[in-house]
Amino acid sequence: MATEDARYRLSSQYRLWSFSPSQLASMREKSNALARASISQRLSSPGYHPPAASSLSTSSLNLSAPTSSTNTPDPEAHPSGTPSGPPPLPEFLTPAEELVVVTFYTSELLRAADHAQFSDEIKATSAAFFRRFYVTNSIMTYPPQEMLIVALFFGCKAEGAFMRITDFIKTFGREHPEEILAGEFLLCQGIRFAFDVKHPFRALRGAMMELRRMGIPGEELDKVERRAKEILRFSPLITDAYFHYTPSQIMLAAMSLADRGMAEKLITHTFHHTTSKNTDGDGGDTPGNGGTNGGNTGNARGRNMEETIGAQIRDKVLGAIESCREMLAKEMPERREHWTNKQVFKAHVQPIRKKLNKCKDPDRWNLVELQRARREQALKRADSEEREDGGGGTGTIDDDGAVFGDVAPQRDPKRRKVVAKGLEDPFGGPL
Amino acid sequence: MAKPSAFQQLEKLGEGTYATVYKGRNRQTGELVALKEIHLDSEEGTPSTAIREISLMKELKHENILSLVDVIHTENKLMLVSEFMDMDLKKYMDTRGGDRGQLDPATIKSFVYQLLRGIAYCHEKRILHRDLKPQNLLISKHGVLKLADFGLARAFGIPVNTFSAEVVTLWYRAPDVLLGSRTYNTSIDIWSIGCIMAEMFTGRPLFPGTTNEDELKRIFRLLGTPSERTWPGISHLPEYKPQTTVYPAQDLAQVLPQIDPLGIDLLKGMLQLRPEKRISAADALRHAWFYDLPQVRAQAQLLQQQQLHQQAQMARTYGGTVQGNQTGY
Repeated sequence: MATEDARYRLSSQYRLWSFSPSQLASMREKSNALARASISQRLSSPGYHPPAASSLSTSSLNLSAPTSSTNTPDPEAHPSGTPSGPPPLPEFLTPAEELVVVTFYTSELLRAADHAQFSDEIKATSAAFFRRFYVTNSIMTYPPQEMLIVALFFGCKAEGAFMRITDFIKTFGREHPEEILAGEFLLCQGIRFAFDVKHPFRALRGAMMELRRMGIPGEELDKVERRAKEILRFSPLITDAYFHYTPSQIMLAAMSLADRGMAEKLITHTFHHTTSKNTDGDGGDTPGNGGTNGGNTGNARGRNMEETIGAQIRDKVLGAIESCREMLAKEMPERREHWTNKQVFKAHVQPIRKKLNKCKDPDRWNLVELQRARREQALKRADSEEREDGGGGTGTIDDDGAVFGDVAPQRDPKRRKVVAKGLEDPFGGPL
Repeated sequence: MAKPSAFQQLEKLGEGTYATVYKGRNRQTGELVALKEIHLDSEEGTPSTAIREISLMKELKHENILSLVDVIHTENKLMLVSEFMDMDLKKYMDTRGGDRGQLDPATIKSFVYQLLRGIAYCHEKRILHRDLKPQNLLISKHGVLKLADFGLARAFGIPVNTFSAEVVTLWYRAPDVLLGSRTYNTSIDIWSIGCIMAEMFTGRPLFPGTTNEDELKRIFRLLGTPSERTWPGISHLPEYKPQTTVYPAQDLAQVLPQIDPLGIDLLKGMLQLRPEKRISAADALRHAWFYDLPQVRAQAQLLQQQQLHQQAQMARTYGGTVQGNQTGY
């Protein structure tokens, strides 16, 4: 137990992606505020032109004719553009609204993954990537319906299931690999290169073995396992559970939702260790020592056991499991229907999406265009550097800040045409 | 994750199929680093090998494993920044070894021990290296050995060999893998360590096979041709072919007279044909061959002292605040 915990604390999931609820909330607020600031700046900059109605029909992925004109601020390049000063700023999404959108698209991601028949691990890893990405990036900055496909593609890769991009896009009714590849880099950065996500599925298998050893009838176990698995495939993935709890805590919470008695049995069994305060007796009276040791070492060992699997720890664990349980209970597997329900969508998601359509980042929303512009800029910079260096063998690794910084509109001379890409079904129409 | 121009790129160290490695310097601290530039595949995106390597290196933190300092990228390239090591084991043997490249017994013992520590840590985390070979083991000028190149073939390191990468890799491949077993486990890394240990003593690869079959033949010639009797289930392995020549097992101590009896005992444990009979990394670390290593002796002494101290304290205040001590491996 202790070593397993110590190991978990060294994982990137714990080091980089575990937060308290208040930490997480303030990170989301910060991302929201940064996005507001930079989008405001961009929208009110003189080079910006609001998307014309006619360009709505143009595919944002007009790859067959990539011209540099798409990046020039020249108003003549926009036939329908009638420069009449910057329009008033739109109403931005609140952090709470952002979270609703993220949750909605997480459910879409899971639905897409079901459609593609991905493994539990791929689904869960992709969902974790997606939600991590939108902790430090606002949903107003990068398009969620694109990023969810990117997360799925990268989730496959991270789980060692390599799918050719051409097959992948076919599965999701996409036409151009660029749509996905353009976001891959962005995603890697956003998730801070932490590609190894730890899931509760293995813990569940272990728990089942343990319960079997405890003599619980197989039929009963199968039922619990089935339900717990169902929960693990949805509830922790669509909530913030992975940010706050360890895989085994999530597993126990799911098991507790499936069968509270069973989870309690397992917990009591695991954290059975007690040592009496009165240490007059020999250490051998505590279970776990098994009397294999002499009295004196047994005492020290009993103390260690108490620290690891004693009552105090049990209570702490129980507290964590209880609060995780509450979190999961809000998004039980049956809520899949909730998120695909048209009424629900109309009432809760659609209004936010409409708002989002007006306040999205004009310079970041089209990932393919964005990547192209950044590549050009990187090349230009490399060129000028080579000149400065006189073509010498040493070079400099570029500062990404100019292109990846959160607020750098002035430094970015390029104004990309914004093409409103309707928020259509992220994986190509009804399945 | 924007990064300032923190690293100065220096000379090229080596080139692989998916990456080029440069020496670099941290502009702030002056510290040397290795910069591994990943060639980005414009068709499939970030290469799977790079993803696997970053993924594993982000999770592995151990003094005998090359540590990832940073991941940096610009729009057109991806760069892994790791600590700088002076050379790989292959080059170390070529430059520091004896006339044939062999190393002195004390150095070998220290390297094998460090290698086993690194791999024991990986195995504990359920990670197989799968490609251990001298080129993937990096040596610092202070004699510290670190495992590099996770889940990858022929990426890091400085290939000085005239043989192709595939051939080099074969030399350290376990017989069960050569026979096509797909259920291989941590024991495949142990086999490689056995091969590397023997090579350090002689300066020559133990089984320098040219093909899959030749590799197996060389292994059987030394360790004896296995049969269904000595290795139940062998005939069901995909690549198994009945051998025309049946070799008897040779005495390792005679073939490798450079190695002392205890060392031979450990080597035998690592070079077991049957994977399930191969010694584990954790057990190998406890092998008597290592008892005279300074770090092992120091650890044993410390342990003993702590126990004595503990007993003394307990005698004084029974049940006092005794910290149980948990030494690693």
